[in-house]
Amino acid sequence: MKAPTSALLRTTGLVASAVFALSPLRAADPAKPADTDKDSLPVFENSLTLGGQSTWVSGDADAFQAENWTAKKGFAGIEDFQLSQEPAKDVTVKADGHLLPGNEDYLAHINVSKSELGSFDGGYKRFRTFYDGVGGFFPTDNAWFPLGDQSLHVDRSKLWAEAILALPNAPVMTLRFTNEVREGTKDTTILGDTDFTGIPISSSGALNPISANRKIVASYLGLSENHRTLSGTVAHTMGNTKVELGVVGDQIDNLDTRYINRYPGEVKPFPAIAALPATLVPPALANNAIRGYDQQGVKTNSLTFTGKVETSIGEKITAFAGASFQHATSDITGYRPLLVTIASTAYPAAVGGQTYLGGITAGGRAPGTYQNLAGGSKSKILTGNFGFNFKATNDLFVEAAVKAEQRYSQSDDSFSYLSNTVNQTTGLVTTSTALPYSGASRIKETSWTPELSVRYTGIKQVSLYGNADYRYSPGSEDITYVTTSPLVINTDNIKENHGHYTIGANWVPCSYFSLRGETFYKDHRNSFYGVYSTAPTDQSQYVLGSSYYGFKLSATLKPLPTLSATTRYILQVGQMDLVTIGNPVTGTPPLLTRFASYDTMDARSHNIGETIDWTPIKQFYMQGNVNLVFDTTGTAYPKAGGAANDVLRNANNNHWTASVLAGFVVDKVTNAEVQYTQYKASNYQPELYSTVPYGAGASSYTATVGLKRKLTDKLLAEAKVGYLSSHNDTSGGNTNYTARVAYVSIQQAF
Amino acid sequence: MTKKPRSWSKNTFIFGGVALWAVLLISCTVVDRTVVAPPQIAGATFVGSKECAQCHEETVKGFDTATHAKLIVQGENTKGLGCESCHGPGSKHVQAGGGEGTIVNPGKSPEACFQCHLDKRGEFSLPHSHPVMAGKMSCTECHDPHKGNAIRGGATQLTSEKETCTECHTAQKGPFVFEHNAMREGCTACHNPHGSVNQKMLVQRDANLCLKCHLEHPAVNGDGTIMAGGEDHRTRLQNGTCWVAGCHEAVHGSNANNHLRY
Repeated sequence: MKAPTSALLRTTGLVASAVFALSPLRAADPAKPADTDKDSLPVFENSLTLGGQSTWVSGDADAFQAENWTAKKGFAGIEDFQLSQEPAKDVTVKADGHLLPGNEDYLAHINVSKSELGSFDGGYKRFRTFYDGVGGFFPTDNAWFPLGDQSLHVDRSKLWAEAILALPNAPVMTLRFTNEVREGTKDTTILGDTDFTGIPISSSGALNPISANRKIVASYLGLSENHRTLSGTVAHTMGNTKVELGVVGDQIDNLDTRYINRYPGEVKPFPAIAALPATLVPPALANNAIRGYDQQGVKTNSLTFTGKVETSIGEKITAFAGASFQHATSDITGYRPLLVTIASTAYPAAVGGQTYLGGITAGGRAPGTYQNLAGGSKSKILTGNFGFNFKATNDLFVEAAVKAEQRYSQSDDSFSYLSNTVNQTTGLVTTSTALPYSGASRIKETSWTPELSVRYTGIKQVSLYGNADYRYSPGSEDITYVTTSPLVINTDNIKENHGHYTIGANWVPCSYFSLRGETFYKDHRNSFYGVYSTAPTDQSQYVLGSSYYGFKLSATLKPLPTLSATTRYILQVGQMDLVTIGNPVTGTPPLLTRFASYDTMDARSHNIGETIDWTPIKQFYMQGNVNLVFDTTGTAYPKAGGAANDVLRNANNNHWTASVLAGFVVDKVTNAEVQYTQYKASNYQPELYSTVPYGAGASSYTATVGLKRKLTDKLLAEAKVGYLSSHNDTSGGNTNYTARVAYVSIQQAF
Repeated sequence: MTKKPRSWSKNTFIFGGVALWAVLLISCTVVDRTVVAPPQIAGATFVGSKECAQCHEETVKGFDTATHAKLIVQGENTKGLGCESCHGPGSKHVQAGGGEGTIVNPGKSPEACFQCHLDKRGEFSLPHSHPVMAGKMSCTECHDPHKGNAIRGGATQLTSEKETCTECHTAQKGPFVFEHNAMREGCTACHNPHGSVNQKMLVQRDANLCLKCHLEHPAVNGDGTIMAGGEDHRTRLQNGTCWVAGCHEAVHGSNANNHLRY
C-alpha cells in the first residue's frame, strides 16, 4: 500500500499540535487542589473497548508484520471487554475478551466462582503470528531467493474448560480440558541451495577452488498440530497434611510438512562438468533442481499419574514428597517425495531435462527420498522426589530435596528408500526399486539430583542465599540401523554430571539505595562410550564438558522521591571442551587420530541495562531504558588455520535496545503519551565470500504519540499515531520497510 | 536489490518535538492533575505483605519456597519489598476488597518483571522473540513467581525444564528414533527463549552453534580442517550452516536418519 506523503503527516501533526496547544488553556483550573487518587484518568472494572488500527507500509510489508506482530492491513473490532459482577451473594462472575479481525486475535474467557462451592473457568483464545518467507542473502551478486508468497502466518488457538469443586472440609476436585491447535505456514532456516552466487562454478578449463554452492534459498514449514489434554486432580488437607493426586491424559496429533526447494532454476549441461578438485567441489550432477517436501506425522497418547504430599512437622519443618509415572506411546508416519530434474543426451538442458522421483546417487549426497515411513515409540518415565523446608529461625530458611528419575524409551521405524543411478557419460537415469531401511533405538537413563537451598536474613539490611543442585545420570543408548549394508549397532554408555551453583546477597542500607549481587557456576560433564558392532576397532570414548560462570549485579538508587535508577550488569563466560580418548579397552586410537582435549568453545557476554524513572511533577513522568549487549562465541576460528579460516568466523551478537516513554497531562481530562524505541545490531560480515555472510546487521526504530481523553465519566477515547522504520543489512535491504500507523479506540464503562 | 525506505524529514522531527515540549510546558504550568507511569496504581501506598495474607493466604504461605523470596530483607528500609515489589502498592486493592484495576497484575503485563529484569526487556524487544511485548504471552506462562523455582521444571521438581517448552512446541517433544543429545541439555542450549537477534531465537545463527559441542581435535593443530563426527567439514561449511537442506535438517531428532539428515 502506498504510504501517505510527509506533507500529509505534517498537516496531521499541525492539527494535533494545535489541539494539544489549545487544550490546556481550557482545562486550567488551579482553584481545585490536586487529588492523586481521583484526578487521574479512571480505570474501569467493567468496560467495552472498541478500537482499530490502519497501517501504511512502504517496503517489505511482510517483514513489518513479522517484526511487529500486527497485520499489515490493520485491524478493527472489540479490543477489550472486561466484566466483573457479583450477581448473588458469594458469587462472582468475571469475563474478558477481545475480537480483532485483521490481526486474527480473539479471546473469550469467563470465570464463575462461588464461595464454598467452587468455580468454572473456560474460554477460547486464538492469535496469529506472522512470518516472512525470506532466505539468506549473498552479497557478491545480491543473490536473493525469497518465496513467491512471503506472507506466512501460523494461528495458535486454545480452548479450555476447568471446573473446580471446593466444598468446605472436603477434597478439592479439579477437572480440566484443553485443546490447542497450531495451523499455518512459517519460515525456516533450513535453507535450500543455489549455484547462482556470482562465483564461477568449477570447470575443467578453469578450476575455482571455491564452491559456488551456497544455501540461501528460502523454504517454509506447514504446521498442522493438535494437542489435547484432560486432567483431573483431587487435593485434600487433613490437619497439617495436604495430599494431591492427579492424572493427565495427553494426546498429540501432528502432521508437519517442510517444503524443499534446492537449486531452483538449475539444470546442469551435459556431459557433467568435471568435479575438480573433488575435495572442494561436489560433482555438478547433484546440483540440479530438486523440489518436494518432507512430511512427518506423529500421534502420541500418554497418561501421567502424579501424587504429592506435604506435611508440617511442628512450626518449623515442612516435609514434602511426590511421585509421577508417565507412559506414552506414539505412532509415526512419513513421506519425503523429491523430484529431481537432470539433463541427459536424451533430454538435454535445452528442453528442461527430465524429472525423476527419487534421489540420484551420482555426485554429492543423495537427496534422500523415502516413502512409507512407519514406526512408533514407547516410553516410561518414573520420577520421585522428597525433601523438607526447615525454618530454623525467623532468619534462616533451609530447603533440602532429592529427586530420582528413571527414563526408558524404545523407538523403531521402517521405510523404503528411493535412489536412482545416473550414468555420468550419457546422463541416462536408471530408476531403482525401493530399498528397505529400518532403525531402532533403546534409551535408558537413571538420574539422581540432590538440591540444597539456604537463605539467611539475620544480618541487618542484608540477605544471603545460596543454591546448589547436582544431577548424576548414568544411562545407555542402543541404536540400531539396517540398510543394504550389514546391520549396524551402535551402543553408547552415557554418563551425565550436571552441577549448578548460585550464591548471592542483597543489601538495602537505606531507603534510597539497594544492591544485589549473585554469582553462578554451571558445570556439565557428559561422557559417551560408543561401540560399533560392525567396526569394533572404532570404539571410542569422549567427554563433552561445558562450564559457565559469571555474576549478576543490580543496583537501585532513589536519590529523590521522584527519581529512581536501576542498573543491572550480567557477565557470563562459557567454555566447552571435548576429550576424545579412543578405545579405552585396547588403547588403540579410533579410525581418525584424535586423542587430546580440544577447546570447542569460548564465549563471553556482557549485558548492561539501565532504567530511569523520573516523575519531577505529578503532571509528567518519563521512563528510559537501555540495554547494551556484547556477546561473542568462538569455536574453530581462528585456530583451525589455513583455508578453514575463510569459512568461519566467531558468532557475534552485539546489539543494543533503548526506549523512552513519557506521559503528561494535557488538560484536566486528557493525557498524552510519547514513546520511542530503537534497536541496532551491527555484526554483519558480508566480506566472507568463501561462505555465507556471518552475523546480523539491522536497525529499527519506532516513534508513537498518543492522546487519551475522558469524554464523560464513563467514556474514554484514545488516539495514537506512530512511525516505524526498519533496515536490515542481513537481507541486503530487501526486508527494509517504513510504516505509518494510526490507532483509535473508545472505552465505555458500564 | 536494496529498497531505500522513506523517512520523515528533519523538519518533521524538529517541528513535532518543539510542539510537544511546548504543550508539555504549558500543561504543566496550568493543569494540576496526576498522570502515572504504567504499571502504577494512582494514589496507592504500601501496606506490607501481611495485609496480602488476609485474603491470599495460600500464596503468601508458599512464598517462602519461591526463588523471589531471596529478595526479602529485614529492616525498616525494606517496606515495599515482598508482594508489593511486583504487584505495586496495595492500599487501594485492600480498600476495595480486591478487584482488577486496583493492583498491578504481572500476569497481564511484563512491566512489573522488567523493573528488575532489565535484560529481559531488552531481549523481548529484539526482532526474534516470544510475543510478550505484543501481549500475546505473559511471563507467568513459563515462570511461577509464587512458589518453588521460578524457572519451571528441572532440578528436583517432578517435571523437566524441557517440558515447559514442549507444552506448546509438541513437535520437538520426541521421543525420536534417533535423538539429538543436545535435547538432554535442554532447549536453552540452542535457543534464548526470551529473544535473540537471530531467527528462531538461536543463541548463534551460524555453524558455531553446532561446533561448540561437535568440534573435534584436528590431526594437526591449525591444519585447515574443521573436524566434526570424524570428518573434515570445512568444505561443507562453505555452503552454509549445519542444518540447511541436504545436511543435518532434523536438528531436534530424526525418525528416519541416524545422522539427523531428515
